[in-house]
Amino acid sequence: MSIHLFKLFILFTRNLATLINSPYIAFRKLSKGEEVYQSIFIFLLAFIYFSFASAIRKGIRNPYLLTLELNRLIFFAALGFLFSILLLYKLGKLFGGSANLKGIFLSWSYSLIPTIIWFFVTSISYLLLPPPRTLSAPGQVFSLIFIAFSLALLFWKLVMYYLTLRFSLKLDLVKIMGISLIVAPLFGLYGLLMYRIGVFRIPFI
Amino acid sequence: MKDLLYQKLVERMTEVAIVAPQRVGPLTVLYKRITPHVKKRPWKALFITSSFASFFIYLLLGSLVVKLASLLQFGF
Repeated sequence: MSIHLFKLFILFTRNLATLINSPYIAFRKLSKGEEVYQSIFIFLLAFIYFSFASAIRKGIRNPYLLTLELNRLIFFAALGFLFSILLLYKLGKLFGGSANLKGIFLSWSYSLIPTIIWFFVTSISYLLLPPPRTLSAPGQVFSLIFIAFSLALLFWKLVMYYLTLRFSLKLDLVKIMGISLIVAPLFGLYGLLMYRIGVFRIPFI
Repeated sequence: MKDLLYQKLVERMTEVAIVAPQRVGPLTVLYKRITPHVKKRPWKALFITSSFASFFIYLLLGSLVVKLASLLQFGF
């Protein structure tokens, strides 16, 4: 069991390194849907982030509120994750793609990495340099850097989204753009819903 | 040894042939120029693109960039 877990961890780190240096090669492998359980490390990272975020949001004095907040974050993030996979799977089939659910699951799991990174860095920057930013020179410089960082992760996420559809569903760019026209408003609605119920101000997609 | 090499070659070619080459009509040339920057070490292209985009947003919004950054910082 522990050897299998260690093997999965090695696989996860190798795929992560390939993802950073050659995302096309990484997603070609991930889209096969082999060794799906390697995604457990990504969910573990997400769990660590949710624990950290709950502690920042609610404080650590009241364990009940802390647990409640943690469970809320996990529940709605899992809901959003499963909703995304199902949506991409169904739309992919509708647009004539050859759907591979395990491949989509694994690829979409790895696409959570820029999301987790952004949320982690944002929560740490909230602690170290609490907002609001000022109009002073350092304030503007930090704002530009933070926006550039956010955009870089957003572009990386979009590349992963494109590669998920390209290799897991074997779709071309035109069909991917067609799917995106349907997916984008739905993700927007999900984000709005999460904001309204006070779970995520920026959706954890 | 020879068989293993051939087997790996076949596996690699099968992997490459999972999807047909991308064609985007008249934009295919542009697509083929952009994608190599995303295929290998994309963080270079991402860094440059995001820096330019951030600067462009600053030119567009001016000091509102500070408010945007504050909103994003609350976003977690």
